[in-house]
Amino acid sequence: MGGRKWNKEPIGFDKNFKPIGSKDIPFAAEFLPLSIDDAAPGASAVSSQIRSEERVDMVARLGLFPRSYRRLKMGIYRQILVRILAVLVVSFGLIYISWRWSSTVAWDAWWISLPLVAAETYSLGESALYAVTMWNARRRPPPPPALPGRSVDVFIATYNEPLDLVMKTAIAARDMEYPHETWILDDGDRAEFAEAARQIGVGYITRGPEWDGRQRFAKAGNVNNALSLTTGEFVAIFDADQVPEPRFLDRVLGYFDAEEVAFVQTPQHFWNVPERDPLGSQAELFYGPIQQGKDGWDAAFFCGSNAVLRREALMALGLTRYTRTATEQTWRALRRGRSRLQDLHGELGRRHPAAMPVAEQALEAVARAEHQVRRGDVLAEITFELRVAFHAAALAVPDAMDDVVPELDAVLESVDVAHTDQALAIHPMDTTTITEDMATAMHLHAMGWGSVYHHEVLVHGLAPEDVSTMLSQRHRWAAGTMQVFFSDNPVLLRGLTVAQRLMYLGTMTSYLNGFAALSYIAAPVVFLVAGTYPLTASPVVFFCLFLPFFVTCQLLFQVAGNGSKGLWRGQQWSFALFPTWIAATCSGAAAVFLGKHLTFSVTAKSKQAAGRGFQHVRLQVAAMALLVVSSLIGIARVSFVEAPLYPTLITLAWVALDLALLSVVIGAARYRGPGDHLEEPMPTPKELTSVLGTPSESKH
Amino acid sequence: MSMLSPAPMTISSAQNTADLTSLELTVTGALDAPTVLAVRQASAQAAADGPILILVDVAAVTSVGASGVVGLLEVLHLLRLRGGDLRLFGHSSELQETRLQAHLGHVARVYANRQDAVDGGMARVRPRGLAPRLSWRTLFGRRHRSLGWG
Repeated sequence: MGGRKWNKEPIGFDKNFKPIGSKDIPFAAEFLPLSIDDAAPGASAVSSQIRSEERVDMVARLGLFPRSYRRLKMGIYRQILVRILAVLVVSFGLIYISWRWSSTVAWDAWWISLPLVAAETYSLGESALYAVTMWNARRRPPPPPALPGRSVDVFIATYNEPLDLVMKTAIAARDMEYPHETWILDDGDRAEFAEAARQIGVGYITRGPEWDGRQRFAKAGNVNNALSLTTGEFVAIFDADQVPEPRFLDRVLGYFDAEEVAFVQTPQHFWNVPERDPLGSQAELFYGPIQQGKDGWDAAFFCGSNAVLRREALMALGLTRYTRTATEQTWRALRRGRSRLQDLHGELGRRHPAAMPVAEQALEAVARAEHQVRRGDVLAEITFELRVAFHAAALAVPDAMDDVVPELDAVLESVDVAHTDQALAIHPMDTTTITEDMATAMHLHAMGWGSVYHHEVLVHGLAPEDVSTMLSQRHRWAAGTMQVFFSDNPVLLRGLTVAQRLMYLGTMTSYLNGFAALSYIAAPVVFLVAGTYPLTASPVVFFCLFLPFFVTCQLLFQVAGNGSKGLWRGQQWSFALFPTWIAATCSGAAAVFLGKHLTFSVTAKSKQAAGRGFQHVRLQVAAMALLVVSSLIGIARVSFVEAPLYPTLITLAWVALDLALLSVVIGAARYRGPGDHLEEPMPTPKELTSVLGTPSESKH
Repeated sequence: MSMLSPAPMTISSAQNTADLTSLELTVTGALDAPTVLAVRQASAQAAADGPILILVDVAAVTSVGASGVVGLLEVLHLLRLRGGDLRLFGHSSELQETRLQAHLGHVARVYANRQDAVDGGMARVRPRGLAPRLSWRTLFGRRHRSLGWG
């Protein structure tokens, strides 16, 4: 619906194929591979296929555009430098950490010494994983043209976003040039959305009554519901605030010529973020060098929006998971059912003895079904027979129906191989976590599917405009990721390559940084206040071993960042969000080990009245106050010759670094939103006004 | 828009296959998303009045995709929710040879003919081989595509 049809506006190879022109030059350095031989070890067939295209493209470029060739050469130099720095980081790091563990642990103050050295070991591990990611960063050439004739469904997922915001995205999605059908997936089931969708000529999907009273699985359930009702070969997914450019599909569909490609992810770019980016929203490092690094190892991440997925890949994933677990689930459900029926049997003995034969016959049927499962019979037949047996048993004692039928129904629903206790039998998008995007991508990779990161901003979205919303969003990402870490650890997931395991592990373990940050804050405080040394070493030796590691780490970060903005801001938030990371890790662990429910909180797309203020970052402010007070105490102790000078100076420098990192929360807490000077990159369509009936707001 | 209506399966709606009204559908060509969506729509319509046995002749299927298999399982889900059932029958070499069958095989059966499908479950066969479980040996093993390339 809403998509243009082929007979109206055919798009052929000739029309779409644009020779590389000056317009493409700014992107050239990003797309060009760092090296012709920059082959990803262990890369799949898709990689080699695309690399051969890179070579052809390269020749064209070399002849036509000497300037871009020069930039290519710079890329090669940069990559060599990254690899040298990566080796240095790991080497210096290993030397430093070996020395720390072997000679400097203050065992008499183990309670602070061990957490500190553990935190440093963790940081080395993270640096090594970053180095591995950057080792193989992949700059893709311009994408191949999208072949005509593909069928595409475009999904815009919404829950509680305002109508004008969703409609603006829907109109932009509808107007994408490549023929497609656009659907609004409204989890809020709002009548005005259905009407507006009809007016602008796009489809409208909401949950049907089959979902009533059953688990809904948030966004993943919303998308799965839509997948079961649509048929396009490809599915583009956008969040409600992510407005695509008309060329979006044309730019990414070409990658799917390689049949192994399961999804193509493009960057998330937020237009409502000012230059100083106080909330650290523009993840240029992630949607740039890091995704390119992961792409080099065939492990680009799917981030839930601004991506196109191959339906067949999603369905294959859902089917595999379903069938692999079907026997186990049926077996478990039968055992639970037997237990329930035994309870029912005992209860009937007291309440309604005449109905006891019903429970006895049902128990016999369950025993028969268990035997059939053990024998490996076809599950659909086993569960159908069970149903018939229960039916016969219940009919044998008609006056017992009210007593036994609800319990028998519950047992049947849980046992049925068709998952009749759920709204859908099969969930292609992962529903076991609140970060369904990452989990889905990981399982697709484990099945051998490939992925592509296309580094070109084609979609313009909205970032949180207050610190509270930002914190809630980061907590959700982190908690969901840690949930996957504990329940579906990539190290143990069958089918991933070693490099892919490391890529996922790197992202997941980055959230453990909260515990490391706590050590980095506590250790100087303990020394300055109590004079307890967290390590025993000569300051000179410490500097000789620590500085090379620290400096090369920072250099690697900067060089591999490849000019991305906000590198320092990213480091600040990584440190300053330590309460969020710790809380999220605990939530993820509680969800997996204690069965606690994790809530999928939709990120607010407008400024929240109560979202600003220092109360949202009180733990960070308290940590800063503690550091300042400790510093004053430390200075006083030096003045009264109660503490040594040089160790205190070193510790004060350490405190200064901590404060510099934590200070990011001050600007965030005071942030009042982007102001009116920012211009929306995608013009508000005139049609929106007529759909809404009132003048539309240009910004939220 | 969802086309399903709530009709939860209950004991009182469950019946023997022989007691169920049946409807026969034939799938020709590709067993893919559009085909199974049509099967689903027809099944939902037929099941609106009560439990029904849908018999799908797959003999003329020429290609099978994961979307097709998933769609059929969704139809099975839909029918069982309403106290009915779905049975496939007919010899389709495409369906037999695809790797999808290895996954489908222990969940549902493709019966040789219509009568076997109606009788359902009288002559059981063992499922085909399934993917091996995780072990430490497979941790660093070379990955392989496990599905969807039939």
